[in-house]
Formats: sequence, structure tokens, C-alpha cells
Amino acid sequence: MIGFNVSGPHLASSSELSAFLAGVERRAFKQALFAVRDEDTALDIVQDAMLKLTEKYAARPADELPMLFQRILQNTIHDHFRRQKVRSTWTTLLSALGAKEDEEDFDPLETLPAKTDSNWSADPSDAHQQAQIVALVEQALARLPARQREAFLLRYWEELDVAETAAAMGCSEGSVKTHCSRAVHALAEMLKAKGISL
Amino acid sequence: MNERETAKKITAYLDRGTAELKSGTLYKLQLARQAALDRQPAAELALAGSGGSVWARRGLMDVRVWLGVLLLVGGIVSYQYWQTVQQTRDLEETDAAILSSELPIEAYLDRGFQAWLKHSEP
Repeated sequence: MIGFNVSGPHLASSSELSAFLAGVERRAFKQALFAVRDEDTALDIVQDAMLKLTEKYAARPADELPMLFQRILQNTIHDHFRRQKVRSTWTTLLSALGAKEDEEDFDPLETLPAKTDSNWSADPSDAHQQAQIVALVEQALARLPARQREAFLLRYWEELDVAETAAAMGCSEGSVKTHCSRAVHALAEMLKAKGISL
Repeated sequence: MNERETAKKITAYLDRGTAELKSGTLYKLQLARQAALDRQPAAELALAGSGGSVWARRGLMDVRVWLGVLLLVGGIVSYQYWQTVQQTRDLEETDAAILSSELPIEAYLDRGFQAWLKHSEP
């Protein structure tokens, strides 16, 4: 007959959801930034993705959150490009006007890097060199075709498996493998051309 | 070097870039996160907080559906029972009226009498 199954999958509590979002927000922002190349737009995309997750999927089991969030994030990025395509004329006009406003609202404090907990070199010259390499890697990544970048980031940065990456991208596992392979080779080539050997 | 190792080295640089986000960006991300958490539906919060599960919620919904079906079936059965009782009562009343009438029962079977009744109706 009818019964209550209270021993079902573990739901994400509010604090777990908060911790999850805090853990993924930086990489989510970077993912969006690599795709759209605009910080404000990337922040909007991350906020939209977070809202969709908390409004519609907060009651899902905690272990489903990473996969769900990646799907939502990728869809939000795609939605952005779809909207941009439709309103391309308007966007060009508004971004040209908006650039001036950005300069006026410039806050030097916002450009200060946050305190980092990484173990990279504390030597200023080393740090500078590392920062340059990071910038070159990010530039190379931004230059990749969108699907290759998406596959690379989900598979190797977010560490999803091939099946999960395929589900998040809405393509076959074979396509994921192809995109990943091409992405890694293209990145290695681009960095090699800049004098960076991995 | 294989694909995975190369990818690992590249993502290490990405991690470093991510660790050094501007404080303004981090603050905006924090605000975005808080805004998203504030919009979390209250029902979900209560359910998650109480240690319940999706299955428990589905169970609740099932109970409601079954209760509705039960009420509907009960209503139909009650109505049919009431109708049967009513019909029986009507028949009893008719029988009682015929039996207690001064006219003999044969009169009701007489065609001439039925024709006279129809003819005499206003």
C-alpha cells in the first residue's frame, strides 16, 4: 500500500547548498568569463545559474547538485549567446555607450587581487612570471572553439566523467572525447607558440 | 606527455587564476550567492531541514490523490444506494395507495377505465 520512504536520497540542506555554491562560484565565474569575455556578463550568468538552482532544484539530493549546476550554467551561457544573436545590433550600441560609464565608475580597490591560499611562489619575479603564464593560458582557452572549451573545462577542470560531460553538453560521449583531445592539443600548440612548454 | 597530464598542467594554471580573482569580483559573487539562497523556496527549506526526502513528499502527494479517489468512489456508492432506497419507497407508496384505494385492482387493468382517466384529465 501507500507508505512514506523517509530513508530516500539525502537532500541538500540550506547550509550545504550555501557551501556548495561557495565552492563552485569562482570556477563558474571563470567558465562564464572564458565564454563571454566580459566580467559583468559573466557575473550575471553565474547569478542566473545560482538562482535557477536554488529556485527549482534545491530539493534535489546533495550529490546531484554539481552535475545539475553545470548543466544549468552551460544552458545559461548558451541562452546568453542566443539572446545576443537576436539583439546584436542593440548590444553593440549599448556596449559602446556602457564603456564610458565603466570608466567613470572605476574603483581601484576592485582591481586588487584577493588574498590567495595557493602555494605558488611568493617571489615577486616568479609570481609575475606565473601571472603572465596564467594570463596566456586563459587567453588561449578563450580562443578555443566554444564546444572544445566547454568539453575541456567540464571534463578536466570540473572533473566530470565522460558520460556526465556528455550529459551536461547534450552530445555523445564520442564527441566529448574528440572535443577534449582537440582542445588539449590546440592549447598545447598555442602555448608552445608563446614559448611555454608544459 | 599524454592528454590527461597536459590537461592537468593547464588546469593548474586555471586554478591559480581563479584563486587570484579580484576582491570586487569575489564580493559580487558572494552577493549573487546570497541572493540565490534567499530565493530558495520555504517549503524546500522546511523539508530539507526536517530530514525528509523527496520520497516522503511524493508519499504525501500519493495519500492526497488516494483520499480524493476514495471520497469520489464513496460519493458515487452513497448516491446509488440513496436512489435505490428512494425508488423502493416510491413503489411502496404506490402499492399502498392502490391497495388502500376504494377501487378494485381490476379497475386499474381495465382499458376502458384508463381511456376514461385520460379523457377526463384537464
